[in-house]
Amino acid sequence: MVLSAEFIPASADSLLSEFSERAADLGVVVERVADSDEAAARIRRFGTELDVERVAVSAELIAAAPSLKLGLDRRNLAAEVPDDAARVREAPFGASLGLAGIAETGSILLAEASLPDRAIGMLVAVQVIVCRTATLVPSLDQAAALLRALAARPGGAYATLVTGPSRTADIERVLTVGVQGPARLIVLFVDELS
Amino acid sequence: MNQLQTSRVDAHPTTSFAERYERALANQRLSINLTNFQQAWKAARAEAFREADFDELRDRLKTVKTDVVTNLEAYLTQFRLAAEAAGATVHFAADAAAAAGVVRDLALRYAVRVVAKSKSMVSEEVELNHALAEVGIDAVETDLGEWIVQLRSERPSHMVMPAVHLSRQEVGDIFSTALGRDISREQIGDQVQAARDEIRKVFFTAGMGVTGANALVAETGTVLMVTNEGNGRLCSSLPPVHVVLAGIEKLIPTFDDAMVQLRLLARSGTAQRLTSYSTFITGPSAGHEMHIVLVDNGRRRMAAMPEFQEALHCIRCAACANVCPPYREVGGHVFGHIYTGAIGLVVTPFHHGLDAAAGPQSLCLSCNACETVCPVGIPLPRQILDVRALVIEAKGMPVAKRTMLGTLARPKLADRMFRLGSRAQLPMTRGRRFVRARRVPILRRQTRWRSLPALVSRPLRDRLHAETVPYLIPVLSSPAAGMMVGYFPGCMTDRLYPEQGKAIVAAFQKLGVRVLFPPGLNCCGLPANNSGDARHAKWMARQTIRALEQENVEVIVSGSASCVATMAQDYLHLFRHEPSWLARAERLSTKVMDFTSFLDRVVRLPAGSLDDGERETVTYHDSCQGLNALGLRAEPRRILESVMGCELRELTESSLCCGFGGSFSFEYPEVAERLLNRKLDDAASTGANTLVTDNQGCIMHLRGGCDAAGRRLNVWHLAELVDARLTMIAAAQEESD
Repeated sequence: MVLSAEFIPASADSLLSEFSERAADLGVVVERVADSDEAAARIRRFGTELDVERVAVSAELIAAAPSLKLGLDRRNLAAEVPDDAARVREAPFGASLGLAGIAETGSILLAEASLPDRAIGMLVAVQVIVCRTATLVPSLDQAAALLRALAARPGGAYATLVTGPSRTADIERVLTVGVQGPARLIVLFVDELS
Repeated sequence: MNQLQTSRVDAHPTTSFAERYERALANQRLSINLTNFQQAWKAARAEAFREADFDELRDRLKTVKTDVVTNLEAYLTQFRLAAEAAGATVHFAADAAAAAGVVRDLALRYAVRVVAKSKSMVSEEVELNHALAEVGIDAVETDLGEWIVQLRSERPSHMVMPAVHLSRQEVGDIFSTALGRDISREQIGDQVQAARDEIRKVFFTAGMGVTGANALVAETGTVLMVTNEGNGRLCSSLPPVHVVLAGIEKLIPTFDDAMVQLRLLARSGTAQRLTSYSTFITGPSAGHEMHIVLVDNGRRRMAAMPEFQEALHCIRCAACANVCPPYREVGGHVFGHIYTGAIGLVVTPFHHGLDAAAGPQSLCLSCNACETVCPVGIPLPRQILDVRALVIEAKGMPVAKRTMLGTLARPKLADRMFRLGSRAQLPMTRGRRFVRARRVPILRRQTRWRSLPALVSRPLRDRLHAETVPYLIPVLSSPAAGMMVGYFPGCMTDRLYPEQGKAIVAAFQKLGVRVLFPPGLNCCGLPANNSGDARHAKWMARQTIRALEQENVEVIVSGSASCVATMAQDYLHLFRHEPSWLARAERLSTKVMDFTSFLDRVVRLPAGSLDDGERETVTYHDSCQGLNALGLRAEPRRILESVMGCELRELTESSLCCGFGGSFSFEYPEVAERLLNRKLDDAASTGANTLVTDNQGCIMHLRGGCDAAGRRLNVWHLAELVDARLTMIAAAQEESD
């Protein structure tokens, strides 16, 4: 699904730089690439670092970026679309589609309609979120408009602003990442997602 | 999993408040853990708000929440209709039993064996786990902190950090026992991994997920839930039935309002820009069910009481606990019932009855720190006093305290008793300024660690009446020269530290300020007000207003920050139902000013004008009323550093209460002693020999602690330093003349 962002920024560069700065505080890796093929190359590289042969990919991401799947196939990283949440229960690596980036907080808006799609971001150890560069908005105020539009759809929506990896400080206030959700988060902003 | 399934939380333990207090004091680790936590949180919060305007955000959210509480039923209807349109089922529960009953019946209807729970304070409030256990259903907490306390059969001791009272060693112990294998006592990463592995099984076996809600967005029927771990998303997604338990006050009108709340909540709760997962759920996922249980359980009663309405603005960030000095010493199992921290003291009577609130509320020492960090501006200190008044009304007050307050309210009787006391104390003071009664059994608990101040035989009132206050030519020119001010000394200055009153009067004389000492002044009523004794507090407030109205002055100055806060702020609340007295209290509140503010804002001495060139090293203790009620922070520092040329060495925690708290230090001497020693240790580490402050209660407490422990620290009221400098200047001028 593609949301029409009302606030396409005058300067994607400045928003991206603010986003990257805020996300870096949380240990999130942020990269900008030109197109889906370049995105596939980056995902392959992360897969190699993780020493995995497959990546769980949301159906939404495949639908939005068919050429990303082709790029992954070409690079011998098996892109598997889970048909059930249990399939990604212990999956090491997954990729999802972000609907918007929020520069103010370094957050990404996720709103997968199907449960298996959503489960990727909840369960995998390392998550890549692929997001169109043009969806970057300055602040939570614009995110409010996007969230309102999602909630108003028939049947509602399940939307999350993801701001960094899963974390806890419940024991002695010591920060530990990867409690229930991903321990590592990578955001790929793609200028031309196809 | 077997071990987990047997670890159920029983209904709230019936251990008495006194037992819990004793147990907390005996736990050596507790205050160490909580001190580390509070200090780290304060620093992190300050950093988190550097890029956000706290006051502006707070005022915005307060306006939103005020609108919600005023139009609660309309927003509830809007939310219900929208949520139902999205496919959710909305239930209303009048009380705790009804709320737990709805969830239990749903679980039975869907033949649920295991419930995966995300953090929900309302579920604690309504004893949900207990209700489910009664019908053989296991509710497993999936938030790490909640899971830890569940394994220990405890309640969360903090609303955001449930296991904040525990050390990693204690966590390692309970994990090893519960999981039947050895889990590291030192490596927190290993502990988290073990918990993750166990809890992940629960998400895939649970037939129902129960979560709370951080907000309910009325415009779309959306449930907002924030978690850092991601367990909330799993609880609300994987099990086929999702139940949301939420108080009816969680409503907010729009997504725009939700963003304001998120900005405040993340920074106030965990010092983050935004929580890791801010999830907005509108309707059930395909093929799943979503039920939203909206709980009253005393909330409508709060909404109907003007004194308590604002407590419904709470967003459960727990910032109030994170700055609370007694909380630091005893933890949330004592400072609170199920809801902990300052807000817990306020809401407990409405959710769990006055009996549950009676003990915890008595632990508040009215330092007002909570109000300064509340992201929705709840007047927590005042509300706690209103709870205290309800407790006193229902349960009465100890005889000794009642007698003391009754005596204080009668000026002539009080005067006779103070004079009698000044003679009766002689065997213990032998003419010294301290009562050192460590060998007197009934006083030992009070004086083992702190000498008490001796009553003076000749109170300030005798001295000021006997020596008329002549007008002198000012030794320094200032805009205050020629002004006429009324002087309110306060009981402690009058009976314990008349030299401080003399210093203020003498300083005024040297500045050319004419001073009037209105006759008939008695106690301002603070001790009664802080004890929940509104009757005597009003009695003394009326006496004070009458006495101060006699003099036609523009400004009334006091050297006691506490008395000023009482007269300028608390009187307005005391007389909220008495329009004629309220009008008089309002007039008084515009005139009353503390000595520091008067010097800084009215006298406005230029930089260096009281500098003796010696660069005296001092430290400054912010009294609670000075800092938190009157908002003084830069003012005393400007006077000490810029005007007097002192080298100011800041205390590490200058805003932390010294532990006096009026009658608090007599009722909870163990906590008062710990707070005192923190302050004195902190002062010692500055290397300064002189500590300056603006409140007699702090002075009494700190000097008493120094005397009992043989510490060498001079504790002075700012006025004493100022007058000493003015005296030097006067002497120099006389010499040159």
